[in-house]
Amino acid sequence: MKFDDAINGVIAIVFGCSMIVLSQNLPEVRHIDFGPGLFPTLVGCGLVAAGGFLLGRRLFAAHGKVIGWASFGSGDRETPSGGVGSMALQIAVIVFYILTIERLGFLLTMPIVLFCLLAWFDRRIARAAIYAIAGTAVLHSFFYQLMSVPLPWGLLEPYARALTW
Amino acid sequence: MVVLDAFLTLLTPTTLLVMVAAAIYGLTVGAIPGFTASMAMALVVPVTYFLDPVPALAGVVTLAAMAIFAGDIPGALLRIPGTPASAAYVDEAYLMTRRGESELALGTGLVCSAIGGIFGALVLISAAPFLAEIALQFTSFEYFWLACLGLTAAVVVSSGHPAKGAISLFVGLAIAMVGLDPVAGLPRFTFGNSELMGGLGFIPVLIGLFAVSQILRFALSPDADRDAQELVDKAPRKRLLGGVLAEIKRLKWPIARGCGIGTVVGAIPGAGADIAAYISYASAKTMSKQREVFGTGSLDGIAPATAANNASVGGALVPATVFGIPGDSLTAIIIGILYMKGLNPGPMVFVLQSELIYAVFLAYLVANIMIIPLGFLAIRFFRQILSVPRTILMPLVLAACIVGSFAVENTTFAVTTMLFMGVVGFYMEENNISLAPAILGVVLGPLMEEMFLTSLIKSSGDLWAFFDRPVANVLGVVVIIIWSLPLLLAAKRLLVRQWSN
Repeated sequence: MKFDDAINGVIAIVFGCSMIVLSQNLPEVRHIDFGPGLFPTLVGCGLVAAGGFLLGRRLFAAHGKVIGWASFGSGDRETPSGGVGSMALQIAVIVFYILTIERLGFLLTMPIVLFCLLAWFDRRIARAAIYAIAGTAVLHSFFYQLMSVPLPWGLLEPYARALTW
Repeated sequence: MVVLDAFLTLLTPTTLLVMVAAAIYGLTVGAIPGFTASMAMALVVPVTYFLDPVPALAGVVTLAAMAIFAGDIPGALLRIPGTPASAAYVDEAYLMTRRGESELALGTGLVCSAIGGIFGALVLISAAPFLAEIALQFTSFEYFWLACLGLTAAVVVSSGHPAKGAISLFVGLAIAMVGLDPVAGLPRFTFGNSELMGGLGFIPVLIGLFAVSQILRFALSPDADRDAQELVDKAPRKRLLGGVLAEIKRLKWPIARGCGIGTVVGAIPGAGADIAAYISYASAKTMSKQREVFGTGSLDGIAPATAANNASVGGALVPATVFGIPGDSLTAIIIGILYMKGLNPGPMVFVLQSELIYAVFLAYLVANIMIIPLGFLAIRFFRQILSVPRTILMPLVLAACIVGSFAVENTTFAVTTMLFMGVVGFYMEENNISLAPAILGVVLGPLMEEMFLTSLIKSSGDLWAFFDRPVANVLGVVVIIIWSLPLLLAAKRLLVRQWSN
């Protein structure tokens, strides 16, 4: 999503000001003159300066102008309808993974995540189901079996031994 | 003797297997349009976490060398550079393909990539220990200015306007500041969340910025490669290396210049393989007696530029290993892995862990020699690589990102961090805010803050002490001149405009 540089400048200024304010509220340390807030304050000032420069460049020289302040698709790339929905789906499945992985376990959550994405982008339901299961099996074998990463079992905890090779 | 011992440490079955696997992975990912070398590297970092230092680092340097070359393949055959590093000469190579000379374009590119990479590796092996001896004399003042110089250069040479480069850098520094502060150990920007005490994990941040951001961008145009797949039949079927040696002999001096330019440009922080290739192409065009052939599909531009982009990785590894200052986003990731493996970059690594660091350098040299046989196979199998639709590949890559982030910290908080940084990276890429300064900020932020505060404490707050030592003085003055330059130029423009009115 491409924003007008005036908005980008304002975002940087707001972010920088927030850093400065938060840094000022950090506790002072006895016997140390230069506390934990000094460097973040300098970084916040840098953000404000860079954001201000971008804003000034946009206002006085009209650089970085975007029609309608914000647009999807820029330059040589047009965003087809549904592009925003596709992006929202990607974010939604990651949130779904975060919320359900401990309860459902990797072997149930990941096939759902993969199936949703594959069915949406590839539009072939049967192929999506096969790839979702195969992809999960490959990832589980690699990370759980080979790399010893403790991927959660969730509901399948009682069957962990049977599902491990 | 150290070099021989280092070479022997490379010759273990695990290391060699990891190098071959990394090479195949790098060639595959680099050859897929839309996937960058940094993205390939970000995805593989969680795996390196579970490996011993030598195979892990040998694997990542091999991957870097291969991915940069592999970007040439779709560039020549489809006019879509696999990685940004191949963009400088993509038109030249594609015009040759249209004339039916894809074998010559790719074969020359392959050999020149290997030459450039080997040159960069030799410079790295010979220059880094020499510079490390000088760097042993450095104190926190010099390191502070070096970090400033590195980050400043990253902003100046980043794609897009320098103000956007600066925003990217400060975002990276802000990310690095989350967690306990380096001097007093007080929690900072943690908002009462105990998960943030240790800071934002390097691997989730990396995967978010470089991989998830690309996947989110893919969602906006999922069918972008449909045309590309219809063009795959242009892949070479005839002899690949026919006539290549004669062309390399003809272009030996431009290629040598390309190697030199690539190594020097690579060593400048922020200027990566893409900028090295552009400068080398422009230099070859300026110095050529046959300028009219440039832009018509000629090897005169391709050979030096492709040598330069591979040489730049070796160049970038010099400041990365000697000073801990990364030359580009690829070496920033390598520095992160070096820290992760307890191999803190800096001059002392050449004293305390010389065998290990030489093993990494030699692995990079071997990887560049391996480019010729493996790159040859990659060109041959390009049709198969591209036949996997991105609509299948991207969901699988996203799944790998999620598991990779989770794997290192064993917590869903890492996946949340990855998602957040993915959205930040997406916003930045969409708005032409380069990611390279941000990742340099993430890597250099803690070092820079520590050196700044240590220097301030040593000098009791006297800022002139930052200029007391000769090297610090020179570095400080250079940094301040670079910082002041935009203001001075703006003032000059204003004065000229007023005077002319």
